Amino acid sequence: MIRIFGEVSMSSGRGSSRKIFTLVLLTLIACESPPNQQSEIFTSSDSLAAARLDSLRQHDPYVKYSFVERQGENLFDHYCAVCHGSNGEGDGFNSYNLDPRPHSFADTTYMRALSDATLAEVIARGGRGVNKSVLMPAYTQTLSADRINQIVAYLRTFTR
Amino acid sequence: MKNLNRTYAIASLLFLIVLAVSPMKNYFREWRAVQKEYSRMAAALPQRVKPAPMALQQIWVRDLNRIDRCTTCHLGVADQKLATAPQPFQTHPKVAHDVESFGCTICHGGQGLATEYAEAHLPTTFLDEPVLPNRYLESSCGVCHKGATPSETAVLNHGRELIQKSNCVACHKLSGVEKNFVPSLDGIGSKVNRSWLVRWLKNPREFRPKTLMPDFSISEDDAGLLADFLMSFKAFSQDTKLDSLPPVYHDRKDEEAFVNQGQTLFRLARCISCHAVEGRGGKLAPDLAKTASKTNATWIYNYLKNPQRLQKNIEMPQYGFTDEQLAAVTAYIANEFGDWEAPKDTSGIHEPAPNFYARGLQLFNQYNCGGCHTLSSAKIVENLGPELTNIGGKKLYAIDFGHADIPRTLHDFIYTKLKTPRLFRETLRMPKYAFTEDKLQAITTALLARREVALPSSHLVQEKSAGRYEPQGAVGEIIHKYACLGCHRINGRGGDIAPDLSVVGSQLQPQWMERYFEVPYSLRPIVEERMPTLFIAKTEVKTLLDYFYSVLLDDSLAASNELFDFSQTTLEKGKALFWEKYGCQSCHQIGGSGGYVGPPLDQSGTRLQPAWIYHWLLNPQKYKPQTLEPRSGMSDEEAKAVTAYLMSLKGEVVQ
Repeated sequence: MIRIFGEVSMSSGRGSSRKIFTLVLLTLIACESPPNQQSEIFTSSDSLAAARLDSLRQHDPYVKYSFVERQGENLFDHYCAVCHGSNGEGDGFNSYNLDPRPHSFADTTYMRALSDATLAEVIARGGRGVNKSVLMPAYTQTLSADRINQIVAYLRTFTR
Repeated sequence: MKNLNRTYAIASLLFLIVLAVSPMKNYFREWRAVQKEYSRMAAALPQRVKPAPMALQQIWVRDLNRIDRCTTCHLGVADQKLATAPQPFQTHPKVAHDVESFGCTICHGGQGLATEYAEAHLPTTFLDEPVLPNRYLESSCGVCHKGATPSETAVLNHGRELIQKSNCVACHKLSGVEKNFVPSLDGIGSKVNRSWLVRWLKNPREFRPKTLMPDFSISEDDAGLLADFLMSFKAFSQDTKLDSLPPVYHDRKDEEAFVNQGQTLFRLARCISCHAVEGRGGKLAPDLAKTASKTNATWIYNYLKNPQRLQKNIEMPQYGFTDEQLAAVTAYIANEFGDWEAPKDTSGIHEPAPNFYARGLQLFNQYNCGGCHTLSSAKIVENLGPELTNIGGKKLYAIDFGHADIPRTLHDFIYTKLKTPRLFRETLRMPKYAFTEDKLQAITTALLARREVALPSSHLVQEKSAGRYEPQGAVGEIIHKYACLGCHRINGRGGDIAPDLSVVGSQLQPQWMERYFEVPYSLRPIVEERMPTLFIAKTEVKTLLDYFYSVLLDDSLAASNELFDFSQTTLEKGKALFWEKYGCQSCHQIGGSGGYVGPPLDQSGTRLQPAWIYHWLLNPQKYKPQTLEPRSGMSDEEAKAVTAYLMSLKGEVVQ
């Protein structure tokens, strides 16, 4: 773009003033920023987000979970997986000693009926707090609300 | 004159155009397009969000001397309403550090002052610190959190563990990492046979898939020379001589009854708690499956008799076997743990090449074998690889990419180096490890964390110094002999496999403990490692118990031992709380019903001290931060009632 201005001014120039034009041209060229390989990402407005996400995935094939989900995964594997199973299918090694057995988090219809707030409440207050089995302990004194929300985010990945 | 006027007019016109260039350029800035895009996106949202500022935004973090303009495009960083918005507008997930006081580049890397996508994110001519890919992001946590790692950084912690476990520090200087125990090679000529050693040197994982020893890919000839060199070391350090096998071994070694006696002892001692046999069993010590094809019976016998005599500082307990029992176990190992698939040694008597010692020593030094293994030869020289203390801050111009066709970034270099070390140049010395994808990523993260960033000291979380606990005298001797600290931790020193014993005297009852030493059983079925039967002498048990109950105590627990009311009504109340309110049976078993995440409590009345139960119930995390047991929020009264109930359980343990 800047170079075009340079050419316009060139075409209007004549003999004796050439030195001045050259000077101006050089100044303009000096002002120009280096070529930008990435700017095409921003040309098509609708696909901007998709393009950015795509390029992120391409560079980073290991990003299966978001940050919050990964934090939730660590917590889930530590506290929950013994009963709920590391795939959330309610088949942890200790689930066989429990009556009622834990429900599968991979069950889409079951999970769709539960809001995030409900899930967080069950984790915080335990089965006893929501009139369900006392075998599910309450975590409100052990995990902060943020940590519990991270677990909820991770629970959602089982039906994704 | 006319000419001059015209020149003047054109010059003025040009001047105006030049003046106009600057606002023009500004108008076409990339970030304006992004902010417009943001406005379009925001208009389509059902919820109302803050409008785009149509100006550059920046966060100035005075303490860290950083100016980050990332929020010019990343407009939703602090706005919870944009949690599901597409990037670059998404809300930043909640982390321990807020964006306003830490900025962006301190964690994510990149160029904070830049206002164009490429300059801010990608490697450029003048700044080779591009934005870190998310998979390595935790490395930034490690820059400040030098040792005390927050529990959120699972990848970084894993990487640091692997660096320690893989003994990287044997060849690379790395501040704050200690060398691992690796067997000494003194006396190796009296331990193994040459054909095994050649096979092992060529590819250790072929013999033992899970070994920590990496593959140096050395040629057949070099392996032979190195083996000859090593086989010449017949003597152990400190004038240790091998005892010859007792006559009973030679008389009975092929008798079935004798071998069976060895097998029974092998089981009683629970060797497979640490050692695997053909992949099944513990992970702490080598797989014993093919041991007899490697080591001779005399060495095995002597090693079992006193492991630390042949291998200083090894964490194998010295079992209280008699000589005959030792011979039986040796006969069992020699008979059962052969390598039936090993290639037949057809070479006959091997005659080493005349210069084998000099060439072997040269190879030993070339690959820095002495970095891991000690060998008492005066000619061993340290031959380290590059120091890694500041590897995360290494500049691109200082990296030799050789002929590897990989992206020119530091993280790609480290990753590739760990995966295929000799890709850059065949003559490199670094051996090949069998790291999985997860492990490669974790180690790369931990190495990238090793960068010096100019930070105020208030931001650095320093390493906790390792425990200096060193028991002395008779107790120290026993703890050393049975390698207790290999699994148990006392006052900050020792392993994490078995319970911490720092306040064991305030937790357990002495009579129970005495019986436990005789026949240890597994309290926690969830833990794979079992306490071995040590065949420990009664006098030694007494010395240990005296020590436990006079030193390893928590006085704050002892004070409340008289507070409990063990009446029938309290007990019944506790029972109801245990089973019906708190659902403790989901993890603990009593009378055969309940889960097995925690220890069964049938015997808690004869095993535990009441004050310990009570304080544990109130706040388990206080004593064991990583415990699975959640803090139930029991009241003082309730905890006392449950304690009374648990103290009433004195049943025989169901084994």
